[in-house]
Amino acid sequence: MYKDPKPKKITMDEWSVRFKNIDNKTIKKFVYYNNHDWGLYLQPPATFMVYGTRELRRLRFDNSLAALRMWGFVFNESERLFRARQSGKKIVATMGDLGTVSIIVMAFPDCIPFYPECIWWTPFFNESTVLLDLASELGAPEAACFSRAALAAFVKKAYFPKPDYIFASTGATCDDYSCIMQSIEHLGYDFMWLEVPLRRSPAKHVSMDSLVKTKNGFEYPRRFEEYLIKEYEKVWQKMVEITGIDDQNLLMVSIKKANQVRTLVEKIKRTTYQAGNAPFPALELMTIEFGNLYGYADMDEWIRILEMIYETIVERTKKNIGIISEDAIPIAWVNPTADPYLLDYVERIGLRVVDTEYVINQALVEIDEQIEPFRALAQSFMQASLIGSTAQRISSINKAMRTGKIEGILITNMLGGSHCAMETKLMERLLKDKPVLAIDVPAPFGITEQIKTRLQAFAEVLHERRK
Amino acid sequence: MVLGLDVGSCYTKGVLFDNGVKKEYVVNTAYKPKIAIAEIKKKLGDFDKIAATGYGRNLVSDADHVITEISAFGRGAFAANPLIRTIIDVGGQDSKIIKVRDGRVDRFVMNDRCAAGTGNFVEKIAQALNLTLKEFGTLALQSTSPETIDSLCVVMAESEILSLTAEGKEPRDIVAGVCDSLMRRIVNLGAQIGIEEPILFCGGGALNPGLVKALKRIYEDVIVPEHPQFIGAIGAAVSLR
Repeated sequence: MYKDPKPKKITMDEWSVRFKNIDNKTIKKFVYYNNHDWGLYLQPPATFMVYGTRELRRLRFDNSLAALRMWGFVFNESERLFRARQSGKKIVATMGDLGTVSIIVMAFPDCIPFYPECIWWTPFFNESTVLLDLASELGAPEAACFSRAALAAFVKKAYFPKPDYIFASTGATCDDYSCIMQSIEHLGYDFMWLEVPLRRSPAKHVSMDSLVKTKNGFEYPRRFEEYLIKEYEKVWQKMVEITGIDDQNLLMVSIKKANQVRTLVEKIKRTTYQAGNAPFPALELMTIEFGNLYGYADMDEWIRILEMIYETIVERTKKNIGIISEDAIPIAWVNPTADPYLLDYVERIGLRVVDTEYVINQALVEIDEQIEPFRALAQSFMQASLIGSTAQRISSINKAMRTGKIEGILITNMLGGSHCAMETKLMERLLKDKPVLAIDVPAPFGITEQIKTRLQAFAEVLHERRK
Repeated sequence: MVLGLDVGSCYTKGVLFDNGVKKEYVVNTAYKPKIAIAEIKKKLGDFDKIAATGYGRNLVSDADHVITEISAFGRGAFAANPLIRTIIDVGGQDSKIIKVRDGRVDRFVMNDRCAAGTGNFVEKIAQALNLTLKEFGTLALQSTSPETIDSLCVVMAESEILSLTAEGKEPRDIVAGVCDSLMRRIVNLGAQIGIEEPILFCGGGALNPGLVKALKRIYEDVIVPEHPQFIGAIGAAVSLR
């Protein structure tokens, strides 16, 4: 069995060399869809760069077996979805809602939910910009969010199999992505739209109906929840139609599984953020957080991977060893970065990410298992930062700043992302007395020296404030 | 004795610093920063340590200390005048607005995307009007009624200026309008962090009297230091002490 060396971030090439020390027994141990014939995925990161290796070569990865397992699994998703199709599973695209519809789909045996918008990762990890270029040709140019890569992927039919069905959430979601979903619908796929309500200010509705208060302190009129329940019931009925199965006990099992992931991720984050030496890198942690959406299309294996990561982190924390120096400045990160390299870069310059607002917090909160399942799903979704005001979105960061948990806030705008263009200035205004840096992260591979200078200067300012 | 080096995109600046500037030298970077660095070292002579800043700071391979130009300007400004609250630096490649509190950088914004917000704007327009930078600055000072230049980019502004020339507008009023336009753009950028006076105006742009006058039309308490182009190099040197 491979024994983890002293924690360190290593390059893709170093992983390829190290991989030779991993025995076959270990390689064969980790499989997706519980399939030992064709489900192997433990590979060094370089294996997955079929379109070139330049961009992965910029990154550094954690050197633990748990991290290697995670990267192998994450990079393998495209192959996994095609294998699922070959082996007779149903592939269901759950677009736009980020983390709840996938739980309903997962409740049906042999149904695999996935998020085509997460394909935007592909151009950022590869050398090729083919998806973004094609999206531009298809009418979703640079002025739209990077999730436009999904449109090109649907046209190319090479990144995931043709979905058996598509659920598309619109309303209080990303409006760029709503346009992209409309374009995809026009390609002739089987589609169902559902609407996500905006969590509007309760003051205007207080006389109309009762209010619900979320665990994170947001309020909304009860009828929003009732509306969302009906939308989820529509999804359920469609899945019943597709599969011929109608057993709501399966939904409870699915919710329990989602909660298992959410609890594990919460423990991973808490343990990592509270440790003196950061035991795990920010890039891996962001990838872990996004796994909450759908377990990278195999929730069971994803849970096992998370358990292994948690063990590694606990082990490192006990020994007080990590990958970033102890005097690194704790910061909060707002928005998922368009370039994964930045997450590594900030650690190189003495910053440490200990709080995040990646617009997916609805997928991070525990779902109530004691109440009716559709209501529980609706209540968990109504906690989403995505559907509320900007002030609500940054409320937890403001709190963390007040308590001294973080010393700075980094906002990374995705160029073209409409929520970035509209929200960042507001956030800066709301955070005006706090050390905050907002940067525009350009198209893939566009990290310039000027952006690095800003980040370095931000790190210098934060270090200086400590003196 | 510390050699402070500010390797900028247009000019590389060096100071010999020991409780004050003992010697200074500036050369055109001209896309050859390593040659510019070597020339300054040779020209300024004996020093014990090197502190580097500027976009080419990492090219100073024997530097004892490297900091970003944001921090360097903060330190340099504090050395020049401890009362300073805001620094406005107009350089060739970018412009920066830095808020300072108790001698430390508090917040900053930069414009590095659009030439119309940098010293490059003045250079391009001076070229179009067939003026040297010195002539441009002197001419701007003579204006009592600057023209309004509304265009948001260098290319469009150039066309607008040609139109004004064709209309028979006075060259002095046109160049003063260019200065106003640049400073307005920078001040608008600075509004994101809130500009407070006194303001230290530095960088190559502060050598242009037209730009100084334009900034003084907006703010009362504007200070141009003795070595405006060398504030970054001074700040780097001070940070090593």
